Amino acid sequence: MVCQVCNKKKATVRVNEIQQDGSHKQIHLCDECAKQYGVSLKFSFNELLGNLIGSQLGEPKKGSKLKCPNCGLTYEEFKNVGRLGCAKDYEVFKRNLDPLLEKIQSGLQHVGKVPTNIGERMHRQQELNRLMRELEVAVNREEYEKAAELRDAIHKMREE
Amino acid sequence: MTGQNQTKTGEWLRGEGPENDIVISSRIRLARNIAGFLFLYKASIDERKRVNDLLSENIRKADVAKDMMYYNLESANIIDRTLLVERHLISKEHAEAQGPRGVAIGRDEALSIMVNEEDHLRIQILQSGFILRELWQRVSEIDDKLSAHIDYAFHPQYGYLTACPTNVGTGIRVSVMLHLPALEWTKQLRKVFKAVSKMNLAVRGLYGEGTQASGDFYQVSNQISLGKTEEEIISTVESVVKQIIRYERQVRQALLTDSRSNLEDRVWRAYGMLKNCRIISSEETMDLLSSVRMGVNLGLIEDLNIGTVNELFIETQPAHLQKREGREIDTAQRDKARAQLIRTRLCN
Repeated sequence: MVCQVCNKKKATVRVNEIQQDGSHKQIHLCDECAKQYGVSLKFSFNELLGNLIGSQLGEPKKGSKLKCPNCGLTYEEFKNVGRLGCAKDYEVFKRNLDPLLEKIQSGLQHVGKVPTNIGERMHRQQELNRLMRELEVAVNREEYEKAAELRDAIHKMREE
Repeated sequence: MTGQNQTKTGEWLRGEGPENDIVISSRIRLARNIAGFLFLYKASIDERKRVNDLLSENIRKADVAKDMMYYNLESANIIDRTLLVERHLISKEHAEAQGPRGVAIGRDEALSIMVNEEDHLRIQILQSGFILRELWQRVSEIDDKLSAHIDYAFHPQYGYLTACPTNVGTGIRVSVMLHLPALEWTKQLRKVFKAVSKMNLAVRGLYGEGTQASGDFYQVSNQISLGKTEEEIISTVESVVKQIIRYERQVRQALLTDSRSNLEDRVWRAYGMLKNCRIISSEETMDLLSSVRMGVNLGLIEDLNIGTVNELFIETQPAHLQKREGREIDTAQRDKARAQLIRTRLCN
């Protein structure tokens, strides 16, 4: 089944959403869209993410022979020295690095500050990411007034 | 190396700032790389040289702090390099590495920018007391100023790209150096550290990664750098450190009320040994100074300034002693020189 949001990637997550009238609605999502969607799915998000991590951990089957065309690093080499050779490695070894990052970090999306000289569009996207992260935190802390404000701010930014 | 680093120690040893009885210093560092250059592990000597030249030039242009000095570590001798490690201005790895690399240091030694360490840039700010918020504001401003001159390696998903995936995202490491003698004496540290690691924080010794705790000093720092904002990361460290401070204070008070004689004996015995010793190792110095430091903080010793004690922790380190002597001296000679320095400081 294809993801019902992006209509491109394979759906790996099934979400049961309860509508305001009490009826159920089932949505199939890919990993990435699930993560985007997850912010509003406050209760199932952690569980959902946990399942994703569980399915991706362990030794990656493919990719260990991969070599970065830019710096010449192989994944084997990285495993031995624990250092990457260039910025492109994050793309080249994405399949192997993402599960590792999920294990040692707190998610796969940067939500902190951004360099002053990056373009306006990227700035907006990062600001959106940051607001969504804050919304997640506010919901977890049950600060609903703050969460509502953040939700409105996110909506406004998306409409602009 | 010029005169400024030989005689005066850094701001962070003043022993001032909030919670200074327990918090020695707060530190925030940001890891950054330049777009278009290979990371250190894969960079040739020539590429490292270009990075070194480019960054030393742009750090100067960015004008981030008053009277910044750039030290070329490739040509510096081992004593000078170790001196910078002892002062927490560069890492041990940076001192021991080879090839083109350096460090820019502000006059008050609060700011240091390492070039070609594990990442092209390591921007560090270190000050006395528990002041993470102020430090974050300052280091973030410096980072912004630098990024107007330098194109950082940045990815919309992964954030600031670093040589090690443990630093990717914000590239931030927030750490607080704590003096915890009472928890150590009463053997309660393990309990505390277990709780700390549950919060995804790390505990390290005085000189960071892989070093032994000595003088009852411990650094608490974040491990997660991606998926949380800098403010969240700082908040976590802040709240955990606040708890540790509270425990340490409670135990100190308990020692004062329940076993005052033992405590006083330990403190005064340590003070007496330091004032009278003729030969003393670095390790023993750290232990005794730790007791004296707590004695000063609890008001048991009144004729000694906490800044002097803090400085002695650093001034009695091997490279500092050798710098003072103006030459390389062996361990036996250092133990004598150390004893003399301590006596001079404490008896005046």
